[in-house]
Amino acid sequence: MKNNGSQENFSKIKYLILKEEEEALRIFRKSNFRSQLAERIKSESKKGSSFPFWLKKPIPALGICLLLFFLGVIAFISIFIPSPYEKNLKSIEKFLRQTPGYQRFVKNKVEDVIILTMDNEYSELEWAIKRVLFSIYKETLSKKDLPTIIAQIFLNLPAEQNEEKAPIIMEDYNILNLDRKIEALKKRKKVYHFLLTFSKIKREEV
Amino acid sequence: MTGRKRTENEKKLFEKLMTYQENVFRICLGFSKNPWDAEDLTQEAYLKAYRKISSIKNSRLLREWLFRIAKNSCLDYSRKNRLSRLFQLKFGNEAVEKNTPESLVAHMEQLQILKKSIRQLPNKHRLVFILREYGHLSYQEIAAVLRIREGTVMSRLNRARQAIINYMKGKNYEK
Repeated sequence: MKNNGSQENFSKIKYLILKEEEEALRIFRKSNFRSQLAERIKSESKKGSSFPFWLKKPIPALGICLLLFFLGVIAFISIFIPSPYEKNLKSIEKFLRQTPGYQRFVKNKVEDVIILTMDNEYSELEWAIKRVLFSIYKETLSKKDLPTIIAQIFLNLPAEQNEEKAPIIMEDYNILNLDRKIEALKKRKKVYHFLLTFSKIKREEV
Repeated sequence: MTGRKRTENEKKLFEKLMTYQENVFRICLGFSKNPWDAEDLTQEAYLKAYRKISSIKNSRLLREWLFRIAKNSCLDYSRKNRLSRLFQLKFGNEAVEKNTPESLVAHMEQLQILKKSIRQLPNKHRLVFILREYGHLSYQEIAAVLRIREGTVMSRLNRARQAIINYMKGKNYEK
């Protein structure tokens, strides 16, 4: 009985659907479906693909991934790989630590040294030496102090300064002695170039 | 994709597809609320078929392939129009009430309830119901289009019918 009731109900629903279809097909048959479709196909073929391939999801996603990858590489290089400037700094520091007067220099302070003033601009080498000395000495050194401090290291000058003595003037600096001393170190190119540059600065001052 | 020139074979296949236009229209009618939307959906289905016609491997399964495209187009339409449909239905009712005699109004109301009940069905039941009751496809054809077994088609159809009956009873259809 229940089944018959359901079937009867459903036959009414089927009748509704049938009526709807009849009405809809009447409207559909009146419209010129074929020609409308042909027109639409024609207009689409003229337009071409409205959605450019480079806007489809995989391509922007791939672009973003590549961009992130290159940004990561750049960040890695800038953080972990030292710049040539830092490399120079480290090599100078390493070299200075090997010099005989280094320990004494670290303990004693350089004071009241007068030298000829040089121009205010630092060369790359001078900047490097300044930073290394700052890391050791923990005080900001002026440009005029740098050569004297280096000289102390290489020439084993006494650390204490006597106030009554005449100030050290670079014109009196014995360049020949330095040249001889570095003769032995000629095999090490970096050291040689460093000291040569240093001695050139001194010659120019003179 | 539509810009590429079609081969002779593809043109013949498309001509054959055009013979099923009323079947496709009926299926689309089941998913849409009025014949004009159904016609638009039918056009969309045919456009997609035209674009993909070169991918047909077996011409014997042409009808099934076309109905599958129509089914997918209708499901996309349902998804997009979920919210706007309710709003438009209201306006549709008002228009009918103003312009038609009482018996037709009653008929339209019943139809609206039926449409709503069909929309309430889960997708898998709705598909089977529309392909059977609107598209007049056999169980075998429905199984081929949806890639399910015939037994599954029958059980889903049964459930869909029962759900619609219950829904319409709840809305006092019997009055």
